[in-house]
Amino acid sequence: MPEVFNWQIDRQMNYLYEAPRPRRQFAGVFDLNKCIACQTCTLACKTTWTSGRGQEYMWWNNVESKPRGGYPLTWDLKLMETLGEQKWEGKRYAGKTVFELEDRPNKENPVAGYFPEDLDYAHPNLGEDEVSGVLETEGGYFPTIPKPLWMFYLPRICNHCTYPACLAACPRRAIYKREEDGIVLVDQERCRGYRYCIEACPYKKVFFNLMTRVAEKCIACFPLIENGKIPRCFETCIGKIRIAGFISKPDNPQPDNPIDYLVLIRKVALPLFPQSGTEPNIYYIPPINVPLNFLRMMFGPGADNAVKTYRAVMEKARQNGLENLDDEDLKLIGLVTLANSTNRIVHRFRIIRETLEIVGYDEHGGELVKVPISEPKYVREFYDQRLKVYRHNIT
Amino acid sequence: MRMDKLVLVLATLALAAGLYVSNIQIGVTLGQELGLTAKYVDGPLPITSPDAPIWGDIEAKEVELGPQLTAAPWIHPEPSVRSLRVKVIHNGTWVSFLLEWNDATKDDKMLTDTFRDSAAVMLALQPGAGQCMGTPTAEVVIAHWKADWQRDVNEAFTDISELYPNFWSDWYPFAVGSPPYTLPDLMNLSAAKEYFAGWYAGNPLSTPLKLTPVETLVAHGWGTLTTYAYQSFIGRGIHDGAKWSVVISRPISTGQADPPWGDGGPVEVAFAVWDGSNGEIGAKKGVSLPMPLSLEKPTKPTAVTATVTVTETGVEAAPPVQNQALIIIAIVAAVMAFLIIGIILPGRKKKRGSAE
Repeated sequence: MPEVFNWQIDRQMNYLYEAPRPRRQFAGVFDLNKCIACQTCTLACKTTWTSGRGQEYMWWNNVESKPRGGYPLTWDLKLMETLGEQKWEGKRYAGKTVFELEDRPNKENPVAGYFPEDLDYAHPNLGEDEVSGVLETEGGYFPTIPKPLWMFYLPRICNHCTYPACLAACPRRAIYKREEDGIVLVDQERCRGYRYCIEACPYKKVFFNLMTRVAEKCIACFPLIENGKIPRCFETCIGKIRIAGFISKPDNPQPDNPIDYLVLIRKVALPLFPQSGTEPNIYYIPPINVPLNFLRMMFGPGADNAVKTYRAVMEKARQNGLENLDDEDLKLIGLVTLANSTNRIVHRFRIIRETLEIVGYDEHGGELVKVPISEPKYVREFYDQRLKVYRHNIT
Repeated sequence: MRMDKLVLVLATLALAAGLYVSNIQIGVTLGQELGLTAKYVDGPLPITSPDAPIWGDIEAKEVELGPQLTAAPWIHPEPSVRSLRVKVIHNGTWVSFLLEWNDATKDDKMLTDTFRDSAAVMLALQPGAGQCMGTPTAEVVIAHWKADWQRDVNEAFTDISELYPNFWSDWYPFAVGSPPYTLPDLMNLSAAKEYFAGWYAGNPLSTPLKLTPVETLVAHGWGTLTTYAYQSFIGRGIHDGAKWSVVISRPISTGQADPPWGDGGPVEVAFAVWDGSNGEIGAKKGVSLPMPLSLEKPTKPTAVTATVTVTETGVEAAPPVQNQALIIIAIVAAVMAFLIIGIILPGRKKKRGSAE
């Protein structure tokens, strides 16, 4: 079996094919500290791509609550079960990936995984807003800092993995990864509905269309990407938690590329379950209120540093003011502020220290958007002379 | 040459010769025992009637099915259907296969986690193609009957409302009117096709209008299975609560992907059955060995039917008794070779070692 290098587990690993990295790789960063599970992304995707007959149960984009929720049901627990007890040695994963696990239940599939049951898809929001413990007995009503109970929202789309499990599992090679942007697609003409891909995908983001009887999945809105625009679920994110772009090769990060800066340079955005081995390309800024044990399981050993960095930068900004941050910290805050402020793909960015603004550029260097890193602040008088009223909210 | 080396060389030669002879003879023997002849019928064939009376006059051939272990997904050691009863008839223009196998569960609906029952007949287009879905230089043509397609043909395209009786959807972007929307109405809308990606892409699995439950495909090796542009097979399957009876038919000569029948064959044929309840799909299936299939000559209407056969143009094989004798000789030779290598030689070495 050919060997490939997976930077997220810091080692060579087995993959079914020799898989040189694509010329460009579509990637996204989601800041989980800002997601409010409004599901606007979910509906944007639904109305754009999966509103047909046979796709009713299908959510290419979904937002689930952690630790209780999951769509399909308990997909993440079953992934952990499939992998079994494995080890990280520092930032290197010493365990087995889904491509390497010989002791697995689904031996007929070249990739370790499990096949979800029909009903696993029936309740996409089961566990929504449920917290980690019991309010009555664990102090939930009168929280202290740090909070004894926690939960967070996890928006998910296809990770357009560098080493897709779905692609490896397809005996017909009906799944392919595009050279021009790394987007992973199911050939709708070639697919015969075998569903090995559904079993193999660690993130369970390939679905079976009940009417056309073939597999379908998130296409990263490639018609938009091809025109320099961001996917629908990114564009419509009202919490501005999402940044779409292209990630450089891991040994050649570009400091002015938003994705590279957050993922490869500051390392605050982390892959989801990197131990799967697929090198997923949606990266998450982990929620800072969640126990690190849980975050390490979900985002790998980089979780400690990511939380520490993010928390420290936000704290400094709050205490000292944005104008007193150093350039690097200002860039970090600037990028999570910029997020999806434009519907165009931001290839490069720059901060303007004087005005505390961040500017996004397209791939030709044209300015796309300029965003204030700090919102303008207005303070009004407590007593309004003209209206002769007291104000309750003066800022 | 030292004595032990000489023994080793002789043993290896004996083993190789034994395996060579046994392989050849086993192959021929199996070919003979599993060979099929399509009985000549004077008149129209029941090309879509598995329950036609004429099938009662034809002797069935029991065909063993085993797991597919050659290509990924390669390990599925227990296909639930282990044998198939096959009858073949022709009338000089058409050839019809009747496949019958026991299966108490009728799997003809495709949910996210359910699979269809199906069966296939594979015919080699060139000699040697019958092994393993053809080769890069030798193609096969395949007729694949599918239970869900049969349901589509029998009862119109299976709608969501049939898969989920309590299903409800308020709205489709391409629909007009108000719910509940019925499938024929939706499908007839010009905009609908854009919302059925597989159908839009021309995938025959996704096409709502099925004219036959049998798909005609070609392949030239694993992973190359492709729907053939010229659909030549038709058929029909019925389930009686305990077994499937499926007839698959095709004109003998279509001008497109015709097996080399020549003067009646033989051509290589193989069969496969998928049991949906057992999660069988794609490479996970029960398959038969390839075997020769000949068309009985119309001038010999009383000849042997679909049973053991040695055809006029077929493989020249030794009589079965002689085959068995050769196999026994080959096995004895192989066992002797192993004995020499495994027991006698180590014993000699040990003795010599102890003397030193």
